[in-house]
Amino acid sequence: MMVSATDKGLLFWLRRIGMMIEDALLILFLSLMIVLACGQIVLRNFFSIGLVWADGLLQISVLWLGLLGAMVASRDDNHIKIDVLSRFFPEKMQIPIRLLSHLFTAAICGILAWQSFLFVRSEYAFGTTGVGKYPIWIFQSILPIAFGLISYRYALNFLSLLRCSGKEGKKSR
Amino acid sequence: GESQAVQIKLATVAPEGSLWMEGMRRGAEEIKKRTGGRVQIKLFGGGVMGNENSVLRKIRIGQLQGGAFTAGGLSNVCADLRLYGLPMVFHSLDEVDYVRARMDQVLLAEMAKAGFVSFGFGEGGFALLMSHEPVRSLKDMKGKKVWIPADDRISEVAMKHLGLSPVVLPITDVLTGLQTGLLDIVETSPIGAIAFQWHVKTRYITDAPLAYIFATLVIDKRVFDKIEPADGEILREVMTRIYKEFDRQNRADNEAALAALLKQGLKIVQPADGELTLWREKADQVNRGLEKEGAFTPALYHQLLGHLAEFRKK
Amino acid sequence: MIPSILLILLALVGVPLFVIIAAAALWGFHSSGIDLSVVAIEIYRIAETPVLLAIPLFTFAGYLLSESQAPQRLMRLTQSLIGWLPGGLAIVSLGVCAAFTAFTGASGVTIIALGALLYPAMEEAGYPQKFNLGLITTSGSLGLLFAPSLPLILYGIVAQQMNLGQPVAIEDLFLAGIFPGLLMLVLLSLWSVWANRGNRIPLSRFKWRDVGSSIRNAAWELPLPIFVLGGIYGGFFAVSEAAAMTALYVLVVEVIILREISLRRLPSIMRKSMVLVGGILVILAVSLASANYMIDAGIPTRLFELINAHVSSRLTFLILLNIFLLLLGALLDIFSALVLVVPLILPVAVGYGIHPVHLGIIFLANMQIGYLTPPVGLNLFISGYRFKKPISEVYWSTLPFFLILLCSVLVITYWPALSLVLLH
Ligand code: NA
Ligand code: NA
Repeated sequence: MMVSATDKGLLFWLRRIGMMIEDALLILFLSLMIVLACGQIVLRNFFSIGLVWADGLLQISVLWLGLLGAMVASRDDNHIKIDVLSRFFPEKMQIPIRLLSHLFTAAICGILAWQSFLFVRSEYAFGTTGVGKYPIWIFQSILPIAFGLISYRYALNFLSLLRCSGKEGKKSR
Repeated sequence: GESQAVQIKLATVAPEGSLWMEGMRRGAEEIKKRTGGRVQIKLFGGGVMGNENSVLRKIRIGQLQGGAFTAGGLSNVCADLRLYGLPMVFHSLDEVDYVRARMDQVLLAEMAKAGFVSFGFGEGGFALLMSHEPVRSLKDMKGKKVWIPADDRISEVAMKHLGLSPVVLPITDVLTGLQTGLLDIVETSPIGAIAFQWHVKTRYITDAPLAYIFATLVIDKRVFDKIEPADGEILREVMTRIYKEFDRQNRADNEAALAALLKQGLKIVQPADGELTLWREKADQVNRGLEKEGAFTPALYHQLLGHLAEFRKK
Repeated sequence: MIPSILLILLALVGVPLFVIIAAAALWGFHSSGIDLSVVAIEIYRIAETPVLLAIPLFTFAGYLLSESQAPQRLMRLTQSLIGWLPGGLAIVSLGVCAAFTAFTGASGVTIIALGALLYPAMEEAGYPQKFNLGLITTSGSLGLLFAPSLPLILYGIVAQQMNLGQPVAIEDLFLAGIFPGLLMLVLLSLWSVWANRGNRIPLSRFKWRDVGSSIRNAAWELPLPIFVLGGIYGGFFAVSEAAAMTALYVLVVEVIILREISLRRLPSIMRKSMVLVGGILVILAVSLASANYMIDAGIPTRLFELINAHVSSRLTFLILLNIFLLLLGALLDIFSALVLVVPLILPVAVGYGIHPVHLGIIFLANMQIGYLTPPVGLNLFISGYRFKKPISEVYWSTLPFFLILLCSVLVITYWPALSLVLLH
């Protein structure tokens, strides 16, 4: 019991800090996007300056915002779903269906994370550059991180639901 | 023994139904027939495989075995492809012909070193200035909004040397940009102007060759080397022939496109006295700057300049 | 076959849509023997598609407006102007959404950005919720036929390069889109009036005093379209930059000038809106991968050949074309569909004497309702997500609107003069 309690404490704090970083990054990238996109217009019209790297950076921000947003959405399983059938299943089936759904999501996102990692590694190996002269893999690194974390979150969802249902099962017996 | 058929999937931004696609399809058919079906070419037009960076990535992982690239798109893996396209190195198509007869093989060898088999280059013509107001001198461009594509290093450096202010926009914004006055000046070949319909929103063309545009088809060398030598020769022969045809055909098409532009009311403007010399001096500074940056192999650049000097002496 | 059935089942029991699409793409590439990291390469194309920049910016602007008092002000203004007209606010909403989509493309951002503003406004005005849901969902792709929509321009560029012997000028496409686009707007407006005939939305008499006061109330929001359109047509910024200027304008007005949103609330609004953007972009990203699998496997071409084999006349061609394009709209994004399919169908269409400009309008009109076609129209999902409604409810709410649009598509298809009358 003691061990699991401290475990939970550590994980709890990691989780809190991680969530704060995610939220901060979301806000940071959106602000950056507004400043950069509007700044470009101001620079062009009032100072006759055109930034060649700005468009590239803006588009990278779209990718980062999208993936960070998707990460945050998976905290509480808040993704777009079709889900028209599960309501018609009996109560007893609901939990196994959700377990299956979480597990499947974790697995697919795990594969995406691994394939993204291979992609980023190969870009690193080939030394592709972008947004001016920077190595592009830095900008791409969000891909494996995002899908890895989404996978991790759904795996946690799966485990906690499993534990929950196990307890309830015991209680009812 | 019986060897397996090699499938070569090629991507391009040229749309399905274009002359390029039709020419390639005929070539693919001929190659299939003459190799007894051992080499099969599948084409993906219209940029459906993504931009040139995406196509390169897909060649690396083997989803694609090759593609058609502009010189700029491939310059990340073979820097010397930038040479022909440097600002104002060529003064005329005669100069281009003279240099290309001597240096095409050199560039093909450079590409082979980078892991790509190429079968020659297809001309895209010279990029020309197209504008609302006549552009005869550098002064005419001052304070005007000149379009350059995002992340185009050479254009960026050139603009800086000319003291001009570029407007960086995605290509899809150019047409409306010309209409609204967001852009005053764009740079493209006559074929390009008609394809993107920019001629509808511009009135003048300046008769000064800014940069030579060309493209090439490459196949992953790892794949090419897997093809039986006899079949590889057939592939090489047919593709080289097709690219020679493209090269010739495009020159005629560009002339026709320019004639069509003039027929539609656009006017040709000659640079003022001494302007062309001034522009070329500036361009030379740009090119030497790029040389220092390591944008291409200095020895090859000087070889090109040597050929040009030879030609100009005659 | 079995994997696809399994995936459909998993989708129906609530596995996130992006996971289903990603799994389909992974399975497809795996069975074609292609390295699976192609999926990562495709997802990364999100960062190589300039049009997507508008999504986060417009979404944020829409969220800000919805969290302020703007919906109420907008509702009061339209009530004072056309409160005497049954369905007035609905008609205004349709027009506004169409204009917005013409500038942004049909990426679903209309639903999120404008829906956030219009949905509460219409609810406040007393429209039934089911009607509002249907209207906003439908409006998400309305306006594709109006200039300067990017798909129209792209169609012109693709068709121009095909050596058809007749020019396909982008300006002609702009002209050709006007009446077909208006037809859709008018039919949907008539439906809005009819559907609300029995509702007890109190019709108000027109009073200049009310108009004056509601205009003064909305004095800061009203100039927004003028600011944006003026900026574009004055040559200050590009169509693709309108989103950034809108976001900035709304931010300044609601946070600094009107102070209806405090600086302390701003981070949470930013966060909430970007979670929504994440939900949509991750679907667009994996859809790039699944579309790429289909392109790699030549599925659209094969589908077209299958259909083309049954064509014997102009009429059967048009009927089968409608079916083909509706299917396609569910499978591919509009840009891939354009470059991939237009070259396939255009020569056949021209062979049957269909004008290439007319075909462009037919194509886009079909793609437009492809976003709404159950079961897999993207706009249906986006709408359900935004307004937190079960997807089945979205289906039923959108159905009448969908049927009306289907009728307009048929009219547009079989009555070429509607598109071509303004040409020459
Ligand atoms: Na684009
Ligand atoms: Na679609």
